[in-house]
Amino acid sequence: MDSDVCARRKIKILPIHDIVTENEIVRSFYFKDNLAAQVEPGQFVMVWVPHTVPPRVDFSLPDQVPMSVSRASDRLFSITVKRCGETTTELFKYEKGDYVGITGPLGKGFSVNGRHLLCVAGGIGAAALFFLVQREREKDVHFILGARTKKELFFERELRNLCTSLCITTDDGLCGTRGFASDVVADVCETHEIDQVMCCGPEIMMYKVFSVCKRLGIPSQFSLERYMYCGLGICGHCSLNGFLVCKDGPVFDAQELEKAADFGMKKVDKTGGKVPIQ
Amino acid sequence: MDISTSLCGIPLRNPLILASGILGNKGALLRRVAESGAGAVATKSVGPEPREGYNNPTVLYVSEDIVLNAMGLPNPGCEQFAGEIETAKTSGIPVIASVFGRSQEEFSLVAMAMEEAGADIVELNVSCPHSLPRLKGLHLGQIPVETKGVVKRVKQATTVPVLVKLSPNVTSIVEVARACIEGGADGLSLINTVQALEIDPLTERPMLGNMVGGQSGPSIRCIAQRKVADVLTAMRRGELEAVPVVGAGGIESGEDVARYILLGCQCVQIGSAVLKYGLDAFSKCLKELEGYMKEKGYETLEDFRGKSLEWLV
Repeated sequence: MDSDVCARRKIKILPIHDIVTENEIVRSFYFKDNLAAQVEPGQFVMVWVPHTVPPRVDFSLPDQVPMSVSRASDRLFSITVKRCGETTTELFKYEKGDYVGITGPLGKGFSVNGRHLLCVAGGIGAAALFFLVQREREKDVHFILGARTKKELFFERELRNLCTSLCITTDDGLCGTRGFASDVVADVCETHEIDQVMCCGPEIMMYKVFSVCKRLGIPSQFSLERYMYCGLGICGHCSLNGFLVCKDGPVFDAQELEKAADFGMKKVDKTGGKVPIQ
Repeated sequence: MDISTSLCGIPLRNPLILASGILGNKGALLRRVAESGAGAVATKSVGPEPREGYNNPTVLYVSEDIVLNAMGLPNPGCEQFAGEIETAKTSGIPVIASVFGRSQEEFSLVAMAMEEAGADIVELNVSCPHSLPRLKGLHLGQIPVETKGVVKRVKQATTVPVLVKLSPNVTSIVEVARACIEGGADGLSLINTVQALEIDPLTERPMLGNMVGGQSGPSIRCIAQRKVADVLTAMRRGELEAVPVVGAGGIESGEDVARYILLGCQCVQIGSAVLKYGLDAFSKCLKELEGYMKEKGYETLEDFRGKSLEWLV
């Protein structure tokens, strides 16, 4: 067995190399690791936040969640994290030098085809697409960056430097266009003769983008999220109509999602039961 | 060459069964496993009501040969799971429903629901640490008299064959096997995972979310072979009523499959090999098994089943 493949499946305990505050609720955590830094845009790492205060045994605290990589070069890579649940809240207490368990890179990332690209990001979905943009500098890349409010925007300055055009949307319209990232996709596609659309964000937004791209006949790819236990393609919990999000994804082609009736409709909770996507 | 076999009267196109706990929580995934060549598939263990798993890490890849897990039996409950059995059944191969409960009543209730949904065989997961909570520290499968009671109750409530998956974490696996057979079990599958623990030296703590778990992968194959041999030897000597035995533990090649058949197993279960080889694990093992049989000049599994057991009886 390829030793590289094995090493990707093991939890590696890495000290946090650096922490950068992107906005009030988003931070980037940098790590040094040769293997994980080989990550491709759209691939993910499992991040274990090892609550380390013994001897109080609290089984509800430590957890490991899948996260997109936002930057990678040589030996260094970063994950960009929004504080939203127990695990991320715990991670936000961590400082430089504290240990975090990293597994990966895992899964299948984006595959770029074409010259004129459009990235559509909603919320923390900007992390994965920011990485893609850095890797596709020689292409003509347009970016739609959607956030709920101006305060929740991040990577705005970096994206303005990297992309041919940047369109910002906020739910309240206090910054950029009022509405969702998906609302402006058709316009941008037609204006810039887009060859391919890459999308990462809330699934309802992605489903809208999927529908728009289908109508316009533009190839598109989507980075999906499902509750993951193993992240290694063995437990089956992240199944999407027979696809494993952790192994066959997280990035899927529109053609694959055509066959996935639950896309945009249902996700799987911690029990494995299907629940509607809100 | 004919590698077909049968399990408790149910024909199987080959002896490879997807072990419970692997990709078995959705019918669509079980169908994919069937398409990849498995002879039968077992579902993830299903209980009476929805249950969340433990916090992550739930699966730990310690090395190429050591996999630890403590999933915590996540499942949507037998009512919602029935649809998954129906989907899995469309694959055309036998579907084994793995069942757990906290009492005899719950075991039989879930087993009945699974039979109703179309399961061809029920496999009782008695190695579940959450069964019978009053017996703190022990799981059901470690107490022969309790195991017998559960098997008996399930047999009364169902008509499909009942397998019991045995835990290796007992003083005498033969005594637990005896209890199952006395309770009316139609077959036995063994072994479940071996109790295990991993510590991370840097964070100085257990790595699984549940702290402790069970070990699988090639590192347990020889342990499993010994347990399987203990049970089959007792059967061959007439000390234990003979029922079909399904071997499980660390199988990842055709030679490994042959090893269990040589010990006298009717079929085998493959689990952790899916981590290493993906769904190709089944076609790989089948091709290698056929290669082995060709080299040895065997036409059917019967030609070599139990040959190695002769050395042990």
